[in-house]
Amino acid sequence: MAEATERWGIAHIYASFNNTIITVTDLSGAETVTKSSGGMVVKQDRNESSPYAAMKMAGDVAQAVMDKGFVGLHVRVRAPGKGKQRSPGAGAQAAIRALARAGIRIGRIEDVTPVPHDSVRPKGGRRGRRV
Amino acid sequence: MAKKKQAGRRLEGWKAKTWFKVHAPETFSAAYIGDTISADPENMIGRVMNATLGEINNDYGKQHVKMKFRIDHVAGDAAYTEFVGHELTKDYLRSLVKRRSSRIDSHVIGTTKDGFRVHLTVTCYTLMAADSSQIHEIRKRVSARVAAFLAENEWRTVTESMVTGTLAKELMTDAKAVFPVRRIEVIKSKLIARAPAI
Repeated sequence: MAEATERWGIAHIYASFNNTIITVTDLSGAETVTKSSGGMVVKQDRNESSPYAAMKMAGDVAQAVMDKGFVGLHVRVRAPGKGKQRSPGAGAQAAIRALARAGIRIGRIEDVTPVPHDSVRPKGGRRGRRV
Repeated sequence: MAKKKQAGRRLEGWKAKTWFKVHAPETFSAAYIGDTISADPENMIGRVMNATLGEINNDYGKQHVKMKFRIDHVAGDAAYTEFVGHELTKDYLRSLVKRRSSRIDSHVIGTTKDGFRVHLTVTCYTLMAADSSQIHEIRKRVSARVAAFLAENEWRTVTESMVTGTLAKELMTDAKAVFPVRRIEVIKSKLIARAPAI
């Protein structure tokens, strides 16, 4: 039965300014297939969020996913959200592109950043960040 | 080294698991939604699968409706689900919001004819900015109409009509009587409690 259908999964990509985390699950989101994060591919902490790290991670993930018989992935991109920035970091785009380049089909791409209806006070204080 | 070892262990766990085909409920003609993997069928009950209406009906105009299906029983390698709510995608909702017009949200919690307790969020987008009295009136009418609709219909028909948009069409006539309305949409629904067993 398994061979007859094309198997899809979900790639959850969490891209903040300090790191990128890719977790691939099945469609229910309950079973993790594989995961990867910046620290697994680059040495320096400050490079964890770089597009290059995301590319490498996506390559690793693509390999693992294809070994397990998936043909495509839906993508859920997420930024830190809440009181922090709501646009995904530099890694998100690179990761999606690298996944596609590795031969994985990309289904729906969706932004699932948590957006509060109100919010906590952003950090930085009343006069903003002074540099 | 350590990394390699872990990978080996994981693969074993993965191999012990089997795939199950997940099907939508009868309301959506038991369409095939996707696969999930599990070591034990017991573990699968309660998992929530997401699917768009476009996928299920092969209707590309309906890609923005995300529906949630919870697995409630497993038979052989097939799993069957029940509908537990829907939501419109964030980018679609964002595209409806315009400047100088009002967005009127109303939340309705009601019980269907067959005893399902549900929460619907209905949003109404006007052509131009409405006065607060008009907003209140629209919200009142919409809420009343939705509550009446729930009381008259069974959960099955309710799901169908809110997902496909027939309920929204009905609400449109009510809201239009008060103020020019651009769009009205059931943006979210949630099943709070199932019908008590008979």
